[in-house]
This record gives sequence, C-alpha cells and structure tokens, in this order.
Amino acid sequence: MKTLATLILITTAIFSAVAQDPMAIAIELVATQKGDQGIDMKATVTDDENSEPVKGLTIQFSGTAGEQTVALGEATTNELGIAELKGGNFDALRKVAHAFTFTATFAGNENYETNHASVDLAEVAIELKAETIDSVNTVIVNVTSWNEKGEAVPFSEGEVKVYVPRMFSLLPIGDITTDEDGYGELKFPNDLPSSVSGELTIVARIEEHETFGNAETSVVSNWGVKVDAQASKLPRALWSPDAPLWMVVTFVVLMVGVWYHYGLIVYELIKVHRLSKPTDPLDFSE
Amino acid sequence: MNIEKTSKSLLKEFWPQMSKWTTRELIWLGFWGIIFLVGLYALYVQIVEGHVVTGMRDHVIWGVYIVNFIFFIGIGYTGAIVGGLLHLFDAEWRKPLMRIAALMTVISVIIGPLYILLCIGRLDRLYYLFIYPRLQSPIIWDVVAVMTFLVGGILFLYLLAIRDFAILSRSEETMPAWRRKIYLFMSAGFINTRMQRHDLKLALNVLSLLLIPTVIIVSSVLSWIFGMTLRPGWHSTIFGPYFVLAAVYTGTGVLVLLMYAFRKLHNLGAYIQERHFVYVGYMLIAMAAGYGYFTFSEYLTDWYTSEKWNAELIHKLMDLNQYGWMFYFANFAGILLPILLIGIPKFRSINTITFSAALLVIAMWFKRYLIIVPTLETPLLPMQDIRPEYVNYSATWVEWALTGAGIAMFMILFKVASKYIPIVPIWETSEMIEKEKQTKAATNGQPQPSLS
Amino acid sequence: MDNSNSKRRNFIRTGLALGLASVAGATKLLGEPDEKKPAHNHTVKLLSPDGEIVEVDTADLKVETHEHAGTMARTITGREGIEGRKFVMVIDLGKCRNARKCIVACNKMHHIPEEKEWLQVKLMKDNENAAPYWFPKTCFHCDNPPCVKVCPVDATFKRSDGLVLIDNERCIGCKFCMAGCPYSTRVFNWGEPEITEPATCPPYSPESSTPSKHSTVEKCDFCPDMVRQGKLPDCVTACPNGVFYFGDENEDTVTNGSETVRFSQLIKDKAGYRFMEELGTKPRVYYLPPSNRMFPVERGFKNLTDDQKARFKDVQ
Repeated sequence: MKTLATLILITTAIFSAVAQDPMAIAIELVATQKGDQGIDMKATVTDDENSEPVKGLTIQFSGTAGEQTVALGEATTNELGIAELKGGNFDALRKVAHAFTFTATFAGNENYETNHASVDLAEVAIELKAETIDSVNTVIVNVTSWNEKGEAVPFSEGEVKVYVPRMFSLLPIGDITTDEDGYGELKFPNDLPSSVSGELTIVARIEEHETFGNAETSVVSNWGVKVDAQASKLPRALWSPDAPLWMVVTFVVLMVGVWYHYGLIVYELIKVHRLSKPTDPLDFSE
Repeated sequence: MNIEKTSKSLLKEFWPQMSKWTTRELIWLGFWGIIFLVGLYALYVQIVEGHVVTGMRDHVIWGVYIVNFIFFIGIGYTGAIVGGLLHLFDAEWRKPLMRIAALMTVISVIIGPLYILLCIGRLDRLYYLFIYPRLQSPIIWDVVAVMTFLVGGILFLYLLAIRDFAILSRSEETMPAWRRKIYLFMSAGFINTRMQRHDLKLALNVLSLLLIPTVIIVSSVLSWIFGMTLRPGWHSTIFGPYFVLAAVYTGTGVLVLLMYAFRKLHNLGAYIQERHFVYVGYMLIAMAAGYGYFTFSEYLTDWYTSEKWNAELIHKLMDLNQYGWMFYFANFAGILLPILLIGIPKFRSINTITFSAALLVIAMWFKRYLIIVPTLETPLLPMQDIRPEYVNYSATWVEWALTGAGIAMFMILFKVASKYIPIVPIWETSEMIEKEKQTKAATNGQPQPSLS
Repeated sequence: MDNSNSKRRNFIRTGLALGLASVAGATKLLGEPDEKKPAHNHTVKLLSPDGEIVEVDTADLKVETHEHAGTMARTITGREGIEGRKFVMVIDLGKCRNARKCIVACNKMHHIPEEKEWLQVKLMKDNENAAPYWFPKTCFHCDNPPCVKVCPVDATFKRSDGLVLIDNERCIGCKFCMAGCPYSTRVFNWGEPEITEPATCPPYSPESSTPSKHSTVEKCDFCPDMVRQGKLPDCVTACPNGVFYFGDENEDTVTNGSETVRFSQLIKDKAGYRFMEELGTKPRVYYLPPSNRMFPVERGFKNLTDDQKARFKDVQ
C-alpha cells in the first residue's frame, strides 16, 4: 500500500502540473460528542475520481447551534486521508442550544476543489459511575437528552455500550439498555487485568444513534486486577544476556584449572632456562 | 648408555633430509601450493559475493565447511590425547611417533578453526566474539576451548622438542648461523642437568595429564554445538563421548597414514617399524569397536522409538536413493572393515593397516557429512520450498576448493615442519634404542619391544 | 497502515536521536542546523511510561529528552522492551484461506523481496486421515527461545515485552540461531540483500528490522515500531479474514482489528494451543484449531501461481 500511496502522490503531482482543473473531493465526517470533554471529529478525504485518500489537505472544523457558529480547530489529512480533531471545545454552542451541526470544510486550493461535510447532532449527556454495590462491581449510566423546549429529559431504551480501552482497541464489556428514567447498569467483571496501578478506564458509548450520533464518556475505576510489574531486568538464564551462575562458576573453574597448569609448565621452562648458560655443552651423563 | 653417540648418528642420518629440498619435494610443494592458491581465490570469491556462492541455504545452513572443521579439529585432538596417554603409560615404543603426533595436533588445530571462520557471514565483526561474548552459547565455549587447546598443543610440541633443539644447536652438521641461533634459543638453555631433567619431566607429565581431560572437554563442546539444538539426529545425550571417540579414531587413522608416508619418504623404516603399525592398529581396533558400539546404540534407539522426525531422518539415511550408500560406506568401510583387516592376524600387515586407516579416515569424513547435512534437510516443519538449492544441499566448487586448500595447508605445513624439526625425535629415539640394546643384552639376543 | 510511513520514519529518527541524545548529553543535537529539525505539526505517538499513548510534537520531544537526559534516558535502542507489555498472538486456523495478504503486507512493510518470506503459510496435514489445513507461521517469540540461547554475541535477544528481535548491526552471521530454531523461522541474507523500494525504507533499528543487511540473519519481528505507536502489526491488519489476533497478555486482550476479545476467553472457548508444546520453547503464539472452517482448504489454491502451487504437491 506504500507504493499505492506514493503512486497517488506522484499522479497527484502530475495532475497538478498538467491538468489545471482542480479535482473534486469527497469528505466523510464522523463526530463523537463527549460533553464537557468537547467533541472529537474525524474527516476522511478521498478524491472523487478513484476514491483514493488525499494527503496533506487542511480541514477546518466548525460547529453551529442556532445562529452561532464557532471554529473548533483544524487538522491536516494523513496518508489515509484522515484529519482528526480531538476534544474540540463547543461549550459556547451548548449554552445556545442542544442541537448542533458540525462541519468539516476544505477551503480548496489549486489542486482540489472546495467541499464540506456536516453532521447534525442532538446533545446527549452520559453520566457514568463505577460503584461497588454489595461487593459487586457495577457500571451505572444515566443518560439525559433535551426536548424541544430545552428541558432535560431521561433517555429511555437507549443502547449504551461499555468498553475498556486497551493498547490497540476498545475491549467490549457489555451493553446496557436504559430504563424509563434513563438509568441502566452492568455487572463489571472482577478479573480484568489492568496496569500496575490497578486502575481501569471505563468508557460508555452511544454509537451511531439517529438523533445523537456518537456520544462517549469515561471514568477511571480501581477495579483492575494488578499485573505484576514486568521486571525490565531479565533474570539470569540461558536466553538472557547474563548466564546462570553455575555456568559462570564452572567456566571460571575450568579456565583457571587449565591456565594455571599452563602457567606452571611455563614456570618449569623458565626454571630450566635459568639453570644454565645456553652455550654450555650438553651433559649426557646419567 | 651411550645416548650421545646414538643421537649423533641419528642426526647424521636425518640431516640430509632436513637440510635440503629435493626436486621431488619441491614439485610436491608446488602441487599443494597451487591447490592452496585455488582455495585462496575461492575465499576471495566468497568474501566478495557472500555465502551465496556456497551450496548452503536457509535450511541447510552448514555444509562441508563444518564437516571439515569437525574433521580437522578431531585430528588435532588426537595427537594430544594419544601422545599424552602413551607418555603417561611410559610406553617405550611410542618415542619415535611422538613428533608426528604432536605436529599433527598443532597443524590440525590451526587449520580446523579456519573452517568455522568460513561459516561466518560477517568476518568484519569477528571481534564481537571477544567484546560481546555470551557464555551461554556453545560457540563461545568452542572458541575458548579451541584457543585453550591450541596453546596446550603448542606447549606439548615444544616440550617434546626441547632436547632435540639442544642437540641440533650443538650439532657438528653445517647449517646457517641463523638456524643454529634459533635452535639454541628454542633449546631454552637445556643441557640435561639433573635439575633440568626433573623440571622438564614434571612439565611434560603435568601437560600430558592435563591434555587428556582438556581434549575430552573441548571435543564434547564441539559436539554440543549440535547437541544443544532441537534437531533430529543432533539432540542426543551421547554426542559428547561420541564425538570424542570419533575424533580420536579419525586422528589415529591419520597418524597411521602419516607414519606410512614418512616411513616411505624419509626412509625411516628402522625407527617407524612394523610393530608401531601393529600397536597403533590394535588401538584402532579398540576405537573402532567403541565407535561402532556408539553408532549402533545411537541409530538403534532412534530407529526403535521412531519419533516422527527421527524416523524420517533414519529413513533418509538408510534409503539407497538418498544417503544409503554413504551411510553403509561410512559405517561398514569405516568401522567393520578395519576391525576385520587389522583384527585377523593373517591379514595384518603395514599395508593393510595403512589401507584400513585410509578407508576409515575417508569414511569418517562422510560420517560427519551424514551427521550434518541430512539432519538439516529434515526440519521439523515441512519445507514447502521449490527452490532445489534450498531443499537439498550440494557443495559448490568454492566449498570444494576451500576443502582442498585445507588439505593442502596440512600437507605444506607438515612438509615444511619436517625440514626444521626431525620427524623422529632424536633424543627420545636414542634413549629407546639404547634401552632396547640393554634389554637385548640382558635377555641374550631376544628383541623385546617394551610395552610397559 | 500506510499513513504511518513518514511518521514511522520520524519516529525512528527521533528514537535514534533520543538514543544519541542521552549518550552525548543532547547538546550536539540541539545545536544542529535548522533544516534537520522536523517541521512543527509533525506529531508522533509515543507510549508514556504508564502505557498510555500520547501524541507529541517531535520538536518538543527533543527538548524534553534533553531535560531528562541525565535522569531517565528513554533510549529506544530496540533492546528494551515496551514497558509493562507482554505481547501475544492468536492465529485462528479455522479462518485462513491462504489469501497470502499477510505475506504481501509483511514483505512490503519490511522491504523484502517476494521470494523471501518471514511469514509463511504452510499446508499442513497431520496424518494420512487428517484434513489438510492452512497454517500461517510467524516467529513464535518463544519465552524459552532456543535461538537466543545459542547466540554467541547477544545479537538476537529476548525483551521484557516478550519479543525476540535481532540486532543486524551486531549479528556476525554464524547462523547458529537458525540451527537452534526448530521452526525454521529465520532466514539469512546469502548475498547482497534486495531491498524493495529503498527510498521509503526507514533507517535501520532492531525494531524496524529493515533495511536488510548482507550476511546477517533476519525474521518476523511483530513490527515493534508499529506497536510502539499503538498500531497493529501489518499482517494483522492486512488479513481479510481476521485470522491474526494480536495484543498484550498483561491486558488479557487481543484484537484482529475488527474484533476485540479477551485473550483467556478466546483460548478457553476455542481450545487454543501452542504449536509443538512438547519442545518446551514456550511460544508466544497460540493457535485455534482448524475447526468450523470458514473456507474449504481448496480455496487456498485459487490465485496461486504455478510455483506456489508446486510447493504443496507433497501434501495434496
């Protein structure tokens, strides 16, 4: 795929040199609302012609609520055509209304035409608590949405997915369906390993809801089973840099044994040498 | 006793051989010199192009180089252990053979390790062995063992030669002054006083005693390069003693060949006698029997249990379309035939013993090949490779040229050494001759080879 | 996986710089001419000491290292494992159809030519009556690695995060590790190695394992340079059937890119095993038996060249 990426870059360059017409692009936008933690936006840019990712375009992210529009930030697309904004602050919008439009815009340049994509979201708030009830670790969610009058109402029958973030991906723990009060709970496994600290981050997500889009919140619990800190110093072993002690001892004993005797022999030779002048005649008497 | 007189006459006899090169010898030297140069060219090719010029590939990662390594190192170990044992038992008849044994040790232990160098891809990083050594690696054991042994071998050769250097430095023969000076220096001031005799004897005894366990350890260490891997045919507990015996067996065979060659070429029939061949022949029988026993028990256990890969390997070895011929040659011509030829009195002669020795030396080379190559061609997972050079090993001209170069080096070094140091030790042989004269006088004319 | 290219290079450059910096006291580096400094907005993902992935501007990174140079030299020499991790792979034999995408991706990633395969897919048939199955084989990164044991110069080594890597700048090419490995995992550069697309090749490190160096040994490395950035190895993401699961055993989690599961649960539910357990090498790669196959074994012969088909003639 690296070739492909390079090829695209080359063809792009050729195109820009030869064809004067800027190319049309498509933008795909995914937004995840995270309440007080802001909004995550991810725009994927492909060219219209061959649906290949476009690298190096600056995407502006903005949000609108009612009459008010705020700029949230900008990011540049990478080799996969992805530009990402993490935790864009949209508190100003939340004060105005509870329904927003988020937009990713490419302003256009000599190679690519301008384009934009937007997502309509209604605000949803996930309250997430990690509590131990009767010695059972329980994840409790309380989901609130807002009606047209701007009043907070519980979100019932809502599907909330619970995850634990891992090194490469989110590990699913279970799903919660909220009751008429917007509440729901999930028994959390008590054998899930964590880092050395015992802390586990728990993430609750509403995914691809038709009104709310994606929403996410997280909490840190101490429910993790502590993992023994990996000793960065490896033990003495056949497979580690340091040999087992018995091996070192055996080696030294053998070496000292042999070389000591070699030394002894050389010493005897020196004694032989000292016992005469080299020019003395040989003595054949017994 | 009149050692002085005997030694003078011995030197007089040997001196023409030592002081000038005959045309025949020069041709001989030239012949091996050319073979050596071809090997050097092959080495150049290998260093420039990489190991791609050899027949070795990802599965068969080692080939005839490592076979030659085991072969030469084994010969080297023999001189020391056989020489050391005979010295300790004070077998009087050993004396004319000691020089050949000691020279064989040093020369082979110089040549052998060169072959392991040929197996190393990055010779430019060779010194890493000394600055980043890992004691857990059998290669490090081997590097240390070979170097330690080489020092022992050189000491052994030297201790046995000091008295001859003393004789040579004071000889009445004409020689260039520099040569006499070197002999004088090498004689370490030895003039055979009582104290000197005592010190030299002590040193030789210590060394002989030391060399025996050393040879056993270093030879085992060599076998453990293979024994420490999870490979069929290699991962065997008897590999240590198996290699020790194989080394000594091969080496004794080479000793016989050298005895025969020098006896013929240097007219040494009076000193390297039929009885020497017979005694060494007896040793060969004992070793062949021991080696045969090890071989049998090794293959029998693998065959009987027929664990998957062992069974596959055994089949490969015995199948006449694969390694069968080599296998039967190595084990019958190399073990059974020598026992019969030397063991049955009717057949026993210098010629048959030498023939047996030649046979077993060649057979033992193939035996090492059978240990290395078929095992590597039997990996635990199916190869599923269609590149023929990756599936089956066959040595290229580069490898054969370098094999030839090793043999050439052996020949050249031995020939050159024989020009500077008597191939039959003068002092010790004189001692033997005088002693036997006395015994003869005492027992009234019955020649009695001393075996004590 | 490709977006990583320049990042990866930067990352490694930074890694090397860090290494140098901590040794040389970082003063030299900071005094370098401007064009050598990476432009701003070039961020790299790094693992913080507690295992979190953080995105850092490369320029900031150097300053930070300078400050810490004396106390906590975070040198990425490739010999230190990623802290707190213990990588593990699970290969689901029931899903493999010999699509060979993993091999192609691996070769591309490591700039090695087609005929050299660090990752192989064998056709296995355990006995006459057994059904043949496709068997992808990576390096097993054994916990009792026979290859590491025999290395005379510490060129191949085991890290605290479980990976077995090779330092090709240390390797003397004795090939003893190849004899030691019972799985024929390692390959040797017999001649001058062919490096595909050398222009995009990152500078050498034991974590990138590329470019290949002549007369040294190489093998599958579990792409630690990707992993350090929180990205899955290329074979995992390239597989169209999600055969490879990769993760941290300390987190008890593995993922094949689309599905994330608990490692222990997966091994329990699908009777995971380690290949040739009896050898005692303790592989870090587990296999799920080829049951409930997603594809008939014959599917694996589709799209193969004649040469590739010929490899399996002994099994069919």
